[in-house]
Amino acid sequence: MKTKKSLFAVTKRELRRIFHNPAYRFLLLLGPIIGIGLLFFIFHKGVVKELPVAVVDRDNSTLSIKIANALDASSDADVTVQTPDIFKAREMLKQGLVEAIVVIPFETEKSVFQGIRAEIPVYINGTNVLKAGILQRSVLTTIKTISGSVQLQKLMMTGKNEEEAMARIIPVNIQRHVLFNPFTNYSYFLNSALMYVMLFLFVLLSSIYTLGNELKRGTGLDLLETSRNSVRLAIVGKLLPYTVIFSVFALSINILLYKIEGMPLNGNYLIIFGAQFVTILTYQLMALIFVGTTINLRLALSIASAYSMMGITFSGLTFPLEAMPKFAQIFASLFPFTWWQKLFISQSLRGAPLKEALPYICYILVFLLVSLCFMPFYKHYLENPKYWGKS
Amino acid sequence: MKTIQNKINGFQLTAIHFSKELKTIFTDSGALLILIGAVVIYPIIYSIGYYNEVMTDTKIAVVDQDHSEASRKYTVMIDASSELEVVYKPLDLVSAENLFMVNKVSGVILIPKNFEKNVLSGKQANVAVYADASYFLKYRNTILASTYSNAYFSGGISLLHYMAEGQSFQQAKISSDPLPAYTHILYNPSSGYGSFVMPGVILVIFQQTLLIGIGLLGGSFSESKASPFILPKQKRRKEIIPYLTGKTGAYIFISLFNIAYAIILVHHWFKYPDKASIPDVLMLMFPFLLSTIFLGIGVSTLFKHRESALIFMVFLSPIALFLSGLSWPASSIPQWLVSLSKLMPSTTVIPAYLRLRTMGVSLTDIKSEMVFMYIQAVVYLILTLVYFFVRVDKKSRKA
Repeated sequence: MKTKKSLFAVTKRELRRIFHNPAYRFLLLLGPIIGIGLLFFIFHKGVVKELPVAVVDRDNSTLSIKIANALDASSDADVTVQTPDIFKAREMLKQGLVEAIVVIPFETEKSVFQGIRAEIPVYINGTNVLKAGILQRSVLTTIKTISGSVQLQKLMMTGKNEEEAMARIIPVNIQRHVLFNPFTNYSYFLNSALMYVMLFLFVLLSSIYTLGNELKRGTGLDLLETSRNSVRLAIVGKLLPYTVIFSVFALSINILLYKIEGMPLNGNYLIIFGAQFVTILTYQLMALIFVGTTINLRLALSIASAYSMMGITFSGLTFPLEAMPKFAQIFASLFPFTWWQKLFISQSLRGAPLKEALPYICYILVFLLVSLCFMPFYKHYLENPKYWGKS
Repeated sequence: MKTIQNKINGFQLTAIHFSKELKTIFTDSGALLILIGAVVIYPIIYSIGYYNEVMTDTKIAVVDQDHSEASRKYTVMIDASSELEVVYKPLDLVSAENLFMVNKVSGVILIPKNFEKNVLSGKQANVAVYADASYFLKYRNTILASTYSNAYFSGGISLLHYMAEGQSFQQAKISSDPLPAYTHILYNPSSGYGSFVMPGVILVIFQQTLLIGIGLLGGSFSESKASPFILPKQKRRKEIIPYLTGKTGAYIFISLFNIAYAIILVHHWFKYPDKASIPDVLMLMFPFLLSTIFLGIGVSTLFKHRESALIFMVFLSPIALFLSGLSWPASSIPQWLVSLSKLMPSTTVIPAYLRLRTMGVSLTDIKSEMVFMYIQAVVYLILTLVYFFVRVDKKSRKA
């Protein structure tokens, strides 16, 4: 009963502090809303479409017009420039106005129908790997299709029926089955991960801010008095309101992803929900590590920010962990986010069994346990004036 | 006589503020960590992560139900691609699916019965590819490599059929693909991931560390810090410009070291694309640094506590990166957000910088971006100056 009462008292004290300091309001409300909201809008359109392409048509034939129209018709490319002047097209590529140049040389149509070698050179700006990949695939497919239709026309003239001709043009037909993310929507990968990065960043920073502020302002004794000298109650009482608020944010992210964006949920939602709750708790308590080792609010916040930002790259989201050097793979395991990300993708997209999720949750719990070891140190700092006041 | 006296004082004041700011930076562990530590650590750690540049040998399984010469050849062709590696040859699709579920493979290719028979008799054969799309690069590898291998294999087959009909090799080659496209990937031919993102990421790091670092050292009027001015209250108006110049100089000074490190050394170590001359790069960096520093000083006046800079600005770092159009095309971002993102110098500098350094265009090709950043710098400077004059006037009236 007493425990409950002092826990309640600490939480009440914390709420008073939250209401009096705008920084708390930002960390708890405005920051996550702005961060998550901006990410939502950045990736809302989802797929990359209609990349600008220049067609240098020096043939000016029925075939060359057919090629330009076919390129324009595909959803990946948009023919924004048609010119016979290759230098003009190159200038536009240099200025970033077009992403690729398709050249149709002089007498292409004539050569094609006479059975003489006719090539279509395609130049793609490789600066952006994502755009270049999309364009390469799209332009090649379009031209291949036209090449195929020319071949079909010729084969049917030699007396083959359509089926025979098609078997000649495409001897092996490859059927693609896209598993787990049927829309191959790149934004699902980025958006889901980055929204959680945002969430966990604010979880960590707000916890460091509130725990560190007690030391900065020398209010540790007052805190311990409220919690009847129990550092455990003090920490739980202080962090409780944050746990509640950030869990609500986690739920909102789930709604944004699954309900509004239409991201597939192939696995068990309860595992995802449980795991995100555990990860929130872990990041909250990890504040003890940062505050405990630096005993300096500003330095703790600096290091924690750096740590959180690194977690994005090393979660293997944009560039897979398997492709990284061994050192980087080991380094990546030092971020709870890496494990969260594996769990989230495997549960949400791949619908993996619970068995696969459990080790990931255990790895996250390791961080939580290590954090708990810093509790006695934190109490020591709360009690001792010589650790106070360091900004 | 009097104006000369004032001028000397102005220079002296600038010098005093310059060294004072540097001293403050070097005695503050938090600021040092952000302004120098982060710039040293991030580029190198990220570059190590992306060291292999491309993902090779994504593991896949091939279910060969035909067991023929042709199906073996097909499998070998897939295995020979740099993107894929055939690590398992399970007997049926069910066991392949199990390998999938336990993360042993990221893709499965199924070659059904009668594959060879169909291929040789001129009927269309079928092959199925199952690709895991839950990780983008693995998916891309599986689809791209299987498509290319299939195209080569198919090309060979139709070549053989044309030759069987009496065409010469050359003729058959043209007949089987009358309109071949040859793609040339310019500027980053190997599609390396590090070469793609790191140059831009380094600039975002510059911007964010400057903004946060300047804010961390305290708003000039913050409660937690003594007044930065030396002159008595009545003369402070005269000190504003030397103060800002000295402060800006200090950050430019630090940035010079950061540029030498991250833009020259790191690029050299990891062999990132470098088609520009360093003077050209510096010409582009100057307006970028100016507008970032002025923005930083302006924003720092809003913070009451020094740690606020971290609280209010760290979360913008990944957002700044994605808004720059570096990895997510700006054409896929809503227009209002693109316009809003122009507030950050990184949005303007990154596309220009990539064109300069990766594509090797000349300074004239990025003129508009440079002009934009100079205007941006002037606007931020004027806003900051106005704020300072208003604050100083208010304070001196109070006195």
